[in-house]
Amino acid sequence: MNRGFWFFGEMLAGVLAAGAITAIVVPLVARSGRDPGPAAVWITLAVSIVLCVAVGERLRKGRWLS
Amino acid sequence: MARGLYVGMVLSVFVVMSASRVIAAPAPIYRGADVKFTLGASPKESTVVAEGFGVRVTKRIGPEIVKIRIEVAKDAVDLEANSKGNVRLSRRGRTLTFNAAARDQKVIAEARRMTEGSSALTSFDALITALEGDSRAVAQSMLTTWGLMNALRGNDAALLAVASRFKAAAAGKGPFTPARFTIESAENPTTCWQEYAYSLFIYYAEFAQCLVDYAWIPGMAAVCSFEWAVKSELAWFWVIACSGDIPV
Repeated sequence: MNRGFWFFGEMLAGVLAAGAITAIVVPLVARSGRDPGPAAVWITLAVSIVLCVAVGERLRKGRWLS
Repeated sequence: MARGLYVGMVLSVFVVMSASRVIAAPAPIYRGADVKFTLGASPKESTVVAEGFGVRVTKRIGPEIVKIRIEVAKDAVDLEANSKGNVRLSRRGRTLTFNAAARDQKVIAEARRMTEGSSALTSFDALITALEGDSRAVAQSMLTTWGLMNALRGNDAALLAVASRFKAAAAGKGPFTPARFTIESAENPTTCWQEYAYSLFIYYAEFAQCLVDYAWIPGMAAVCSFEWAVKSELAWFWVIACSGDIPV
């Protein structure tokens, strides 16, 4: 499959995964009286995209999806 | 490429670790112009605390009962109401128990006498005045509390004022906004985050309530989860755009 499509998919999955993570984590953290702060947006986004690209590249290069 | 990504992951972990200082700092959920709101929740009840104008209003909402405490330095009024209409009003060691549905004029007069000259309620009036035009759920929750307190004291005009405010708020509502952004003039990452965190908390509470109300219907738990996921993802895209100063 086109490498560009894979990369786009990985990035999109990363953004969506970051949204899902914060949707769960932020209310739980808020319940404990803490506030992660605005930096959490970019940190979560960066970590999630990096992880999704890493996993996606492994899958792409893996024998069963190539 | 994979090796470079691993290096990036390690660096990101260090960034997250250094950000723990930010996470460790306690902060309120939302701070309005003059009234500070703090939200909390436990498996059995949700809590809303409003502080401003020297008064602190604590509202604990459970599935069957709501407990309200309005307090200033030297005065406090406690109110408990359950889903059957039974109300317990307390102030300065005196307690009045009655059923609100009966609207007994003698009881209303007694409640009025009990709360007469209460500085806590006077400050609560000032707090409600400050929340004029505030359409947030927390502000409306305080407004209903104020309406209930006045109705119990026989002040039906206040109750009508609450109804008209809700009507005005409903009329002014536009289409669904993923995150309830109200401070249009001061858009920066901090305000964006506050609105986002507040919206997520509301969605989480709505999701929990949806599960409580509809999970007994086959498949409805999945519908609740889907609704929550969509709203949360929309709010996430909104906060990215808002924090990055992208006009959306």
